[in-house]
Amino acid sequence: MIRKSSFCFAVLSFVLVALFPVPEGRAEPYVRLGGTAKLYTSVFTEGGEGGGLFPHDAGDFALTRAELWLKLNGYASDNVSFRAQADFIYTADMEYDDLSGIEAGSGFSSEVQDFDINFREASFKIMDLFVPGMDLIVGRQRTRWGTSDEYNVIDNLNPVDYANLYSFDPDYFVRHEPMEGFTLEYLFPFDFDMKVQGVYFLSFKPSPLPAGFESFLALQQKQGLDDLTSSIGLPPGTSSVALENVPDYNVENGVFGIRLSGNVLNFDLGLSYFRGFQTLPLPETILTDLTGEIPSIAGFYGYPRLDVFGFDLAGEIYSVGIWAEVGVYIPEKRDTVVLVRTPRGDLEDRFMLLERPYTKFTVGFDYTFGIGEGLYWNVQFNRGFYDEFSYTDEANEALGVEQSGFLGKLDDYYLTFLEYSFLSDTLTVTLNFLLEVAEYSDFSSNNTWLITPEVAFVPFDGTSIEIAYIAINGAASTKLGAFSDSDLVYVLMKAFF
Amino acid sequence: MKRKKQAIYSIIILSLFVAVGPANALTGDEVLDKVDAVLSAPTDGTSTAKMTLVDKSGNTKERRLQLWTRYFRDKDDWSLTKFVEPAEIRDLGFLSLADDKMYLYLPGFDRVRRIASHARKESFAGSDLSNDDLSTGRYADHFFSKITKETDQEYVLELTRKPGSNRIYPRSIVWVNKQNFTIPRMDLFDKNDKLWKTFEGEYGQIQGYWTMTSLTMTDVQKEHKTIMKIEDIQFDVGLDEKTFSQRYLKRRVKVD
Repeated sequence: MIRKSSFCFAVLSFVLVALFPVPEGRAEPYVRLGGTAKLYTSVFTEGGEGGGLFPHDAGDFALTRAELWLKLNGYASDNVSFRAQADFIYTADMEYDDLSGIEAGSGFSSEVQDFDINFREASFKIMDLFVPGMDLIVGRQRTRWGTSDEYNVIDNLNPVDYANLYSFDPDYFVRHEPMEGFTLEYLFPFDFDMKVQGVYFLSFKPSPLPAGFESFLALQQKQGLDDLTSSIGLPPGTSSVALENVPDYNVENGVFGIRLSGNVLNFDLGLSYFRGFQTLPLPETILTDLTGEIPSIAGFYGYPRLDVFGFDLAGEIYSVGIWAEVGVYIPEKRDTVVLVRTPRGDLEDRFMLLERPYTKFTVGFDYTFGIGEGLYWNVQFNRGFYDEFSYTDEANEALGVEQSGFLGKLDDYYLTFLEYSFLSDTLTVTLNFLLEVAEYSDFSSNNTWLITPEVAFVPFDGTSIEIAYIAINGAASTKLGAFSDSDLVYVLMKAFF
Repeated sequence: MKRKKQAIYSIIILSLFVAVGPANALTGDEVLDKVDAVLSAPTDGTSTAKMTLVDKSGNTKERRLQLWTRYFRDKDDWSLTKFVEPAEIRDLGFLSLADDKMYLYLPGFDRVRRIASHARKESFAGSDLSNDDLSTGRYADHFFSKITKETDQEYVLELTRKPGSNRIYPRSIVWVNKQNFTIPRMDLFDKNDKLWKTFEGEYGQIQGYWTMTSLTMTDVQKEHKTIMKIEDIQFDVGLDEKTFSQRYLKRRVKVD
């Protein structure tokens, strides 16, 4: 099915390019191959459960990954450019529990030769397609929306890669997955700061999830089941997790967005609309069966629709850079069913998990102090991270979802960092501080702070070495606090060519 | 009759003085206007540049750039700068427009960031040039100018920053060539009025325009200097104004 669709997409792209006149370019075709070789390795400096996802001891390697990013780009003519990136990734596995894991698989791979290729980008761009100022980008691509620094609440076209969220590899911080489709842009002739951009990605794509996520969900369900069965004298049960209502791979389930941006009174402003899907699995049915010899609980998860209206702004006031972004999230009103089968009959609770529109936003400013080569200061406030939702009271009552954590409620994040470069950018020192607040009323037991001192060194042109220490401390009930026992040191080395 | 003749001679001498005297004795602001006029004489231009960073031990690092400029006589010029080498900053771009609108393109993240004018203080890619040095604009709009010395060859001006201007040098001493109104040398002072940087420029005439072909910026406090050779200079190439947009800022450079 996927192959057939990819083939159709390739044919469609080809037909599109062949049918429409491409303005004649003057330049000779040009191709450039470049890339990055990279090693990232991190070591836990203390032992713990790692939020239930990564149990470890002090001294354990958290993640060691060698990567080669090959980037090919160029011009077919002045008006037609292309770009592609393939990432070759070797991840050193940490545990070998059984022989099957280290045997060759159906091809060559095993946990010993744990090797992946990630085709991150393959697209081409036609400039001035029908009229001057109209550009079309076709292919596998990443379309970023928003003017904020680091974190963009309106950036929903490409799903977030949660698989690497807790790797603390800065290259993977809130990285979004590429999608296949079309981006059409038009720069207005009377004001080339003003642009309208329409995006259509062929179909829904879920976010990659952290390793152990399914087991984690199953364990959470099982804890709920065990609480119930022990209270009524039944034995411990089994727990399973499955997907249902995954959007089909068809035209109807494409992801669509439109954004109008321009400059007004020296501020860059943008208005946007996104129509797509939640990219994280949300519970649709929780089925508890107490009729058999062994009780069981099964969770069925799906991906409801999502619409987001966005506004973004960037500019400056008295030389201080400022930015703001607001996303109004309008969830699909879909029932979640909690069904308990008992020998005396079924008990059903039906409610909406998400109902009312809710807002995520970010505001921030930055400034460079005239100290030496310039001390850079960045301050941000974020309300609601990508994986957070505003659940209904009924959902909270039934499932206890109104908590901080992965797939949890909207939390507040205060982020600041200072950065200073020495010796003509040969050495850069950064100090990051992040405070997560889950609840202000009982602040001391509902916050977590994270401090990250970083040193980046460029010994020669074309190389960099970065060393950082990540210290996390706070309430286990918060998203980051669950990793309070997971302080780590990482080294990131890169060579560019 | 004699008195009448004396009066006529007096008027002629006086008128000569009035006509010739002030024309030769330009004010500092007038000299600066002429400098601005020379700098903004072409309509637009393209060039490449090789930047060599030299530390106090003599170690060097090189950067290669491509530059596009649109000149204006009544407002700040527009410039687009793209890095070609080294590989880790290849495709990094800097777009400077009028009214302090500046954008940075970060190729690693494929994103354009608006940068506020506080970033003028920051070093440009580790060089001794700041973003302020790279951003173009009329000197006369940002500085008061006073002639402190005049020789047959040059004017020496003292520039002091106008209130409200966000240029990073509060004071500078500028040598202006009387022949062509180019700037062969500048001493730039920090906020404590200590000598911070010295600038030396070499000029040539290309397509009839006097233009800088190389510069050396020395940070005397750090004992570090940047030598920039500007090559492949072409003027009045008819650049589309859309070249100075985020659309072109994101375009990949071609490496020879």
